[in-house]
Amino acid sequence: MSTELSVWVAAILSLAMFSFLYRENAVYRVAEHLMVGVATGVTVLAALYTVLIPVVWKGITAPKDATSAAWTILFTLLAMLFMAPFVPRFGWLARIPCGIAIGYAAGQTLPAAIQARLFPQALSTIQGVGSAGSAWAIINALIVLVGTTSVLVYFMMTVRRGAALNAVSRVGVVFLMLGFGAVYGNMVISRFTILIGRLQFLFGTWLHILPT
Amino acid sequence: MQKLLNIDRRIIFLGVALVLFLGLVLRPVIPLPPSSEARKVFDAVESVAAGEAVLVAMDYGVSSRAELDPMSRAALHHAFRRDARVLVVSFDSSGAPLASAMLDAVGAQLGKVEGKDYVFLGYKPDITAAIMEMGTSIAGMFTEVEVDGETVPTDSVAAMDGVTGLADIALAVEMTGSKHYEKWVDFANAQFGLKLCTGATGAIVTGQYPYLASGQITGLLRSTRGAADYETMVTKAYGGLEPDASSKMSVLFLGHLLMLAFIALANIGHWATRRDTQEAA
Repeated sequence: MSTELSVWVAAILSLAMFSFLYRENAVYRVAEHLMVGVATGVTVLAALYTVLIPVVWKGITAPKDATSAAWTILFTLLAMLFMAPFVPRFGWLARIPCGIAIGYAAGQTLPAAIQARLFPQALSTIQGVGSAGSAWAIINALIVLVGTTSVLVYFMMTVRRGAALNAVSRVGVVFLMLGFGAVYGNMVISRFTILIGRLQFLFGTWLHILPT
Repeated sequence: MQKLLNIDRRIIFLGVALVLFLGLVLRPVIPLPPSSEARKVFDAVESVAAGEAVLVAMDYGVSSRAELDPMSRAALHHAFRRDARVLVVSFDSSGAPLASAMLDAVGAQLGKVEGKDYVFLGYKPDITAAIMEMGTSIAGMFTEVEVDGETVPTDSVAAMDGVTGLADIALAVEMTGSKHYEKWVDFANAQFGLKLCTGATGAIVTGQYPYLASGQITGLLRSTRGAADYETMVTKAYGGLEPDASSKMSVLFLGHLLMLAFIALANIGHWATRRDTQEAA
């Protein structure tokens, strides 16, 4: 059995979280609140040491030049407007930084989405069959082509569907189900791995009862 | 048959715990050939020449450690064995200290020198802005780094010699359990041409396959299976890597068998109950 305090704390908290599997209880709630508190604390500290001190504080008190100090002050003031809703009379001021943030994010994301996702993915789907080297690769590329096309047809909500489109759409449903199945299967791997990691910790690192 | 549909969930939990515990104790060996996507990651790191820079992005927190730590450790091990200079970054606030600790541990194990052979660049909160800036100036984004407990300017570190932007990086390996990989594809790969391999948790890996098919991602490590494949290949080629994901694979296999058994039982119960209802009607 481990003699390290940190291992004991982690083991007891793990067992407290597992106790939820039996039923909701006070021990579980204590551990849950502790986890939320610690996670929030880490996030606040990360913000303090990676943004507030090096960017804001140093940017104002020890700037590279006057222009950079002015920009830092301007954007710090704008960021502070996010807190305006705490004073209901001035709550509307929060719309200014919100608008800037949304505009910035949209401007940044849209060209990238077109350049990195829409065109390369469409090209890859279309060219896949032609550029496939082996028979198996051709079959694979054809499955991708049929799957992509039929799923797109399934999501065409603005067109009146005849028998042909309905048939293609039903093929799309099959591909969607296969996709969801793959996601679920991978999710099972993911969750089992986390559980195995915890069991290795409890039975190995803590209790030392696993073979080495 | 109705009983099959009303099994107490606690019995299922107990069954899962028992099967996994037995797997951990008995450790059945299930040999698996390496997957092609994991092989591509191995080949990509193998193609890095000595002295070239490899960027490892460990963009995950505590909750994804069980899946992603083994592949991160294997990637660091592999890059060091290739005598590459290793730069590590983390865009997860809770994951950054863990990433730094793992880099130090693997570096020390292989006799590498902090600052010369590797450097931990740190954490930044806005991944998109950070990658855009890193495209032209990594030291402009991460202005200071810690080397042997001292804070020094990033561009003064030997590991950064000849590395200005992402174009100077031979290969990036991104490990994540979130949508961070899309930022690396959208900006680092598409805009700066960075050669990119990824490692992903099972929860998000399905979304990465289209990028692998289009060539935007060079190789992919799929959850524990990918990590185990990669770990095995690195161990075979260089040795010295403790089996971590590989030790989970056989246990995972038993867990999957149990899940299949539960699904089969539930379906038999459902089918039989429906048949009884139809006959009664």
